[in-house]
Amino acid sequence: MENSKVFVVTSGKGGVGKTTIVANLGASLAKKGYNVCLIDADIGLKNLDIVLGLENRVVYTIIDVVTGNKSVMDVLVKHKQIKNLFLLASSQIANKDMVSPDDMINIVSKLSKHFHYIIIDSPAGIERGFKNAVVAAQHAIVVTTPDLTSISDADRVVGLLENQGYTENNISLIVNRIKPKLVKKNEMLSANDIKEALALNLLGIIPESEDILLSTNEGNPLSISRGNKLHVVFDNISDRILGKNIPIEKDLSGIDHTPEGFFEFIKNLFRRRG
Amino acid sequence: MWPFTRKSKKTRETAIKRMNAFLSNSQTRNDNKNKNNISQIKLTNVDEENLNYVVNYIKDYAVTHLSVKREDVKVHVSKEENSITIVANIIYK
Repeated sequence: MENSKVFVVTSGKGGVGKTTIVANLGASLAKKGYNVCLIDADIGLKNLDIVLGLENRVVYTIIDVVTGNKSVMDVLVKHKQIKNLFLLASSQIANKDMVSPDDMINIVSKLSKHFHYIIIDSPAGIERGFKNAVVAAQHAIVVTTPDLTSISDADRVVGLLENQGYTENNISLIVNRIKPKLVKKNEMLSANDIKEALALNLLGIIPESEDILLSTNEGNPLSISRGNKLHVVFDNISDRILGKNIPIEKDLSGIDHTPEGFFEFIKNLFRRRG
Repeated sequence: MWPFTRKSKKTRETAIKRMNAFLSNSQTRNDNKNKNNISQIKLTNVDEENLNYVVNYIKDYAVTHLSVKREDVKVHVSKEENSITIVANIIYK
């Protein structure tokens, strides 16, 4: 498996959903039969293990690999339900300077022999942690939400990725937390507006959903959480990564676009005031 | 009157305008990718100190806003009588 595909999910701004996207994209690819390893490159502020529900199973971290205490295959944590999904966990007590870009290249090189897909969860910011995360990847996925601060940071990150040798052919965009009702009412930027402005290929549109919070509460990726519609979006994105031609409109096809009616408005009014 | 106040303007239009304003640098960068970007300014009555300031300002601006290395910003200064021509050549790799 020398030809594993290595993705980095990055954004510049924090809190736009990178970790959630890494967890759910990895789970979706693993459910389709591929061996997937997720790397938490957010040293010191880890939370990919929490989103995956693996926080109590982490014994060794990436720092043990870097210091030579353990080999990389020995420190991987296997997901409880998805047996071909693995996590290389980060350390809460370490800092970003304890891992160098060369360390990350070595780690990814070793993992490439065992996995079809490796997805690196980049930390927020554009400093050492960002460089560590992007140096070993072949393809970058830039995540933004429809607010201007996040778009501005995404634009900056695209510039830095280009400096690192990335081109428009290996940078894709995911727009997270779109509210189709607001877009329809002309009160929110659409994914297409952002795509045009950043001049990137659109890999997926993820609508705002409380399913994300519920699945994180359970520590289960959406593809194995019960009763949610959002896993279809991650399946679409993973299909696009696999080279399938899935129209981007399909990401929002299961979502209710119609503005709320009068009764819904009154109901929400009382709910908000109560 | 609350709760029936109406927004006077669709906020998406404002957001698009603002987004395009602050992304204009990156769009220029994308348009000029893989080719050199040359711009010129002409100044009159400039002393040596001001000249150095302008040259450093151009280099700093290119490094900060255009994501290029400092050594890839070539600033050429030529004097003709009492005027000075500065040509900045910014190389994108």
